[in-house]
Amino acid sequence: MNATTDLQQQLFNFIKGSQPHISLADELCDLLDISHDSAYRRIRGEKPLTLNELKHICEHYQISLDQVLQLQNDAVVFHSFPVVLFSDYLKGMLQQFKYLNSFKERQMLYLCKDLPIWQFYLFPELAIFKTFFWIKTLLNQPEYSHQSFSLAGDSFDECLEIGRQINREYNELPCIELWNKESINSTLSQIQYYKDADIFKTRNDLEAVVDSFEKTLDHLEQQSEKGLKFMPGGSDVTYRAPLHLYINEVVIGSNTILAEVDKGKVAFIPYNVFSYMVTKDPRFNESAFAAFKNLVSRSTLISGTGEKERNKFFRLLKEKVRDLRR
Amino acid sequence: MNATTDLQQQLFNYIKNTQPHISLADELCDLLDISHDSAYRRIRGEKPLSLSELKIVCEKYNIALDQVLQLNSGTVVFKSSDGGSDIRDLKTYLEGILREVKFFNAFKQKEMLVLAKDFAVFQFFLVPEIAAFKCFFWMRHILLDERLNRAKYSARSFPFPEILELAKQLTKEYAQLDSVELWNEETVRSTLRQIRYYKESGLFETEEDAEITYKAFDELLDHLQHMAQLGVKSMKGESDLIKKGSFKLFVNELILGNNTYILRLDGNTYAYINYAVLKYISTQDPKFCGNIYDSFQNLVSRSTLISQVGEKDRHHFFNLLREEAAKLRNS
Repeated sequence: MNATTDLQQQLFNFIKGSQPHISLADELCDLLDISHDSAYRRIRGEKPLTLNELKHICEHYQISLDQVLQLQNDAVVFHSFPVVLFSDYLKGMLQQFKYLNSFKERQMLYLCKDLPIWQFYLFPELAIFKTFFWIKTLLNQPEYSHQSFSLAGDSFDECLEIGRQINREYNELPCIELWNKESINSTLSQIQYYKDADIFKTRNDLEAVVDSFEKTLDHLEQQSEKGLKFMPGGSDVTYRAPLHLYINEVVIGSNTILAEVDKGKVAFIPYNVFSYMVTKDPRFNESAFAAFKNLVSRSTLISGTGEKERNKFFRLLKEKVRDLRR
Repeated sequence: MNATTDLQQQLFNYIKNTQPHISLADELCDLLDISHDSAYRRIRGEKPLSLSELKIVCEKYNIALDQVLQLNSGTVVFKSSDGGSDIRDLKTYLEGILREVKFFNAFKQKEMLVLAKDFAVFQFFLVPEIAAFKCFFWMRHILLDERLNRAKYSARSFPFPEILELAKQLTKEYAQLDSVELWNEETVRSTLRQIRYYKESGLFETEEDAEITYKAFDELLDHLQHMAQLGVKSMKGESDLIKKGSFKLFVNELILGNNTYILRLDGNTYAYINYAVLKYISTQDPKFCGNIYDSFQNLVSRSTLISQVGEKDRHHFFNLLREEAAKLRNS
């Protein structure tokens, strides 16, 4: 009986901790349709909750029962964020960055498969292309199904603005990134696909997107030369977080993002092309962080040092982009 | 009160269905240290389970409570492939996969959908020399198996025959499943890079070992092309007469894959998501799986079928892979 009380009290403490501004007893009265007195007896653990009440509470406060009971089974709990509207997706990402930046000690680890999504928002033409591609071809939104791509068309102002804001936040977040030579390939093949399928309205649209892609790579090269992150043309006065960029030749990445903030660990695991799900599960995170560190130990540092390797790496990427003009 | 009763009964029904051979009342007596009568009252839903009893029951029967109660909380519960322990041993890892694939094959209707980043474990194992190389690489460089500290790879003497035996069994099970796979040019790349990494780092025992491995990789491509041509899976050197699962292969040019597996088993959908190179988490969450299935179908609709039909595209694709192999080999 004692242990029950403890678990139930733990549950209510957890809710109070995550929602400090509510009156728990009042809310329970409404939620479970019980008297104040009954609510208090439950909070104090004198009266056990039934499964039905438990379900109500968990759904209301968005809690996983597996997490609350810390079940020693092999479950890992994630919050998932399926993409419906692309601008909402970007807003969600911006919030995550702001959250990470609200900590004093913070670091992000990125195991790149493609360039991070926000880096496509450094220059407008590439940003418009990628946004169009994601919405039309991957999210399959019907109003775009017969549209060809033109820079004179939809300019996705809202998405571009949020993208810029994400980049600003990202520039304040110290990062370790693992890239490989494949990291721009999906964008290359997306441009090629539109070219082959005649989705570019004019040759100029294609050229402008390729120009913009080259500018992006130039900027990323400058950042890695300095080992710091900044906006294109940004001033030296603002804080520039350090960037440790490695080339990994051992495996192709997965776009996994791991973050370490004031001793807490969070993992963002991608699924369905660009949706992410998030977990703070300690066992899961231990193994994800360990795998990342193992890959780092087998990779080559090219930011702030390693000029020869860095030049070789970016030259290779730029050649691939140039080939798109053929 | 009625609804509570229902949920608690649902939970016990779920346990009875997943464990048909136990006497639930007897087990509850022992587990919760209560009388037979009390056990029955809980099973009938007359007496609510306390949170601590709930916890004991869930741990005993390995239950993800969110899923059983169909909790609508924006969370998705996954099972991790290694049960949370950090597997350092490839044999244990492969045994885990073998158990999963046997589980798939126990269903009548079974279909596996693959969004490939690399070839699947099962496919590497079609050619023993590739199986040995990949196993060595995973053990030494990903799982950090201490037995291979400083070891070099020799194609002639792979030191763990029991692992190759497991590999063979895995490939056999895989051959029974119907699969739909989305590949692209990148699918061959990580293995080719790994071979090159070994060559450049002097991790092959002799020059010949590198040659053997490259040659085996070409053989693997030949065999996969053969499977694609027939649209049916097969084991190398085995007669095509034994009934095997179908193999539908598409080329996807839109995105790089991520080694996601979707399993359709007698009307239920399961998703397996890859992380940390070799590991998997899986879920049966209907919303999540529905979402991921739809997105897979969208990619299929924009891809090119090259198994059984589309000979021209098939040749083109496999030749591209061979060129890629030759390029990495000679550069």
